Amino acid sequence: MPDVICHLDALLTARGMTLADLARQVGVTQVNLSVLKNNRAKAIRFSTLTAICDVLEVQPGDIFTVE
Amino acid sequence: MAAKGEPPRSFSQLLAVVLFVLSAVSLVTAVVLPFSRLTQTDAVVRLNVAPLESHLVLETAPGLPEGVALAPTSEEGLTVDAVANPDGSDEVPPAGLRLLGALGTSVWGLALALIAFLLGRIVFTVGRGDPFNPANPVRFIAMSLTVIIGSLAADTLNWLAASAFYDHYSLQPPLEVVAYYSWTPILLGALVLILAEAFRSGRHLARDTEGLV
Repeated sequence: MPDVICHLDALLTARGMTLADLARQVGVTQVNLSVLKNNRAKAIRFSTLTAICDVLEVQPGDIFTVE
Repeated sequence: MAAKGEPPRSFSQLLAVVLFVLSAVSLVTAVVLPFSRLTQTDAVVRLNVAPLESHLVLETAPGLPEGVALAPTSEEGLTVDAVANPDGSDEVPPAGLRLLGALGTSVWGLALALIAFLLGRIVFTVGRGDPFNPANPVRFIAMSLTVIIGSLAADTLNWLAASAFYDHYSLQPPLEVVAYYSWTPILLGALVLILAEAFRSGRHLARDTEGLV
């Protein structure tokens, strides 16, 4: 089964943001974002994805790729 | 005292410990009771009283043999406790009769011990933050079956004991032996089966949302 790779780490570095900043702006816990960032998440809510895209001003395809 | 880093025991975990203790006490009582009855010289069974004659039975039950006495129960007028050799001065009832009189209570005690143990395990997992542990639905099903089978077995043994006592002492109406099976444990067992199904569904939901952010 292909793996979904999350590029949140690179996106945050490029913007000089911390995971805590993003968690606060998105409205989810830092623990959950950490799970997502480290590719341990099994699913993501549309509301979470939309909020991340909104804050980082990116599209879902910029956050995830399938390998 | 809790070790460093160990979370404090929650109320659920303390409740689980209480249930384990209750289970142990019930088990010991259920095992000891039959042996205790064998060492005593009387035998006790519960008998029914024919309707409309309950006011007569305690004083003037016809054909009541010497050495058998009747005592009122909480279901006054409907049942009586028949005691053979109540003061120990008459013939000691056969060992089988003394033992049979205690077996119904003993079986119910064993069932209670198992129910309390299983409930303790369930409450323990809830206290640990793992209510949808895969073993819990199985534990609920085992509890349900124990309630139903334990109740039926206890009622049957009580009926057998009463019948044996009735025949041994050649008792007569208005005293009578009626097989009585309560619906309450069966309904309770069905309710616990529904809980098992709810916990099984909860397990599926928990698995579905595992890793969801």
